[in-house]
Amino acid sequence: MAPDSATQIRWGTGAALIAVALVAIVALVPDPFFRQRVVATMLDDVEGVSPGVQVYFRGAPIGSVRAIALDGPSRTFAVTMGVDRAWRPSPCSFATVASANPLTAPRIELVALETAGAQCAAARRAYGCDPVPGAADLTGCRRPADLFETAALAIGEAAAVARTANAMAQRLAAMLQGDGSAVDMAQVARNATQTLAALNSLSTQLDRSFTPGKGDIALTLSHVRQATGRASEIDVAALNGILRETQALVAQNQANIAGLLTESRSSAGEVRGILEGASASLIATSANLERTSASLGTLSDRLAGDPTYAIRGQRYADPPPPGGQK
Amino acid sequence: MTRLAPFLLLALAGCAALKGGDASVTMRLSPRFTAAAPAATPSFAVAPVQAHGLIAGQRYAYVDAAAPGEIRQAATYFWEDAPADSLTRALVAGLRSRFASVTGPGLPLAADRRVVAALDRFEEVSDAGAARAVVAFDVTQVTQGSAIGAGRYCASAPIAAAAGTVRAAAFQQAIEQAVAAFVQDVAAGTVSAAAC
Repeated sequence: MAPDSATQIRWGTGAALIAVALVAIVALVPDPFFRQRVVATMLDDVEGVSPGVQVYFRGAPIGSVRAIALDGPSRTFAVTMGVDRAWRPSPCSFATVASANPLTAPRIELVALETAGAQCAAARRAYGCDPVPGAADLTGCRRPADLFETAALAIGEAAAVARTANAMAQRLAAMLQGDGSAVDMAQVARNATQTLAALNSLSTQLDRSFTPGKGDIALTLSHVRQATGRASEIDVAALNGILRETQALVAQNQANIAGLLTESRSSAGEVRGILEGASASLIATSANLERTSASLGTLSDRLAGDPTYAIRGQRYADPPPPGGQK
Repeated sequence: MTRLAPFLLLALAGCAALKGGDASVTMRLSPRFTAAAPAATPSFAVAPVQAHGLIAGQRYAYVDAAAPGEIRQAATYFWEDAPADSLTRALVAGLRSRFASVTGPGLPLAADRRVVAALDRFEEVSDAGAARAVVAFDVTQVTQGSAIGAGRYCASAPIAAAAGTVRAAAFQQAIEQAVAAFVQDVAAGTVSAAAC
């Protein structure tokens, strides 16, 4: 006996509702088949990562971001992720925001270093991860400073060191005029040499950071993101202004040391040797700062004139083979 | 034919997208010098060699003799170290072949003489199918705050083929010749000023 039409409608409606509910569960519940487990981390800057963004481990997608909640008092973000149940953190694991390349959107990257727990802090530091404080399943890393921020810090530091070196050179000059003993003078000169070595090292780093045309496409691309993305926040021209002031200080140092060398013609050999070393160091520093400033100026000018320059890069061609050989 | 056009265009775009980029060639210079009995004095401290313009970078530079005022940069050839750093190492190695106490920029100790050099040319010059590696630098020795000699040294070596190894060998030969001439002058107490 066939059911009456009312029963058929009831059963049909029930089956349709169950189907809709099943579809809704599959579509809306993040992990309906319990294939993932939830891992939480703390980040100081999510850099545009939002719920749904994939989580990668050693190049493979293993989950996605489920929720991001701002923690008011600590001004950090609690990031909840669903990751493959098979994934197991090592004793030294952490989460960081990264991009496959500067032109793609950022994503969460899980890093598992095969290092014993005792050496984890050092290994993490070597990796460039500065942990965000806060209780979470997985340590999160602070957003690393980008090229311009690093450069701004380095230039500021170089300016401070140049000022210290200047003060030391002035003190040496006073000592040479009779205000101090030869022992003190040697000590101050040695300190000045160390200060100048620090300045020289900083200027070398700056020169390396900004030298264009190293042929590394990643470097060019990172310029794109960092120059175009951060240009509104960091004034490249102002940075270059500080750099030029530092250069002027270095030039003043050079003049001071040259003056000291003239005055100390008859003074002790050790002081003289140290001063000559300082003079050489200043020449190198000055050249490094000059090149950095020029590179920064060129980069800034080219980007201002043509923002696509950094993407397109410069066109190069190999030299012709000698004698038409291959 | 019109129906095939979109497919041909797609195939062309696919081929262009799938084609790999040109592999870059990084060239290494390892200048070597024949060691003689080293003299105990004077001691030397070699300052970092200064370089200006395009030769300050690691990209291979070349000049067409027909347009000597235009310096060009190679697309795929690079130096492992900037030419100025290679010259610094060559000066240290060259001086060590004749003198016992020579330090480089990594160990800036006080020394009897300081060697301050500026790299002027480090480029390939192509002329009617023949190419040569050209290296030229100016160098000053400083002692007791005074310059005791400022010379110019240069050398060139033929580049027989386009391979990176051949090009690197030619530059190595040129740098060895120029530095050997400088070291010879230092040992003899003379100064050269090559017209190049």
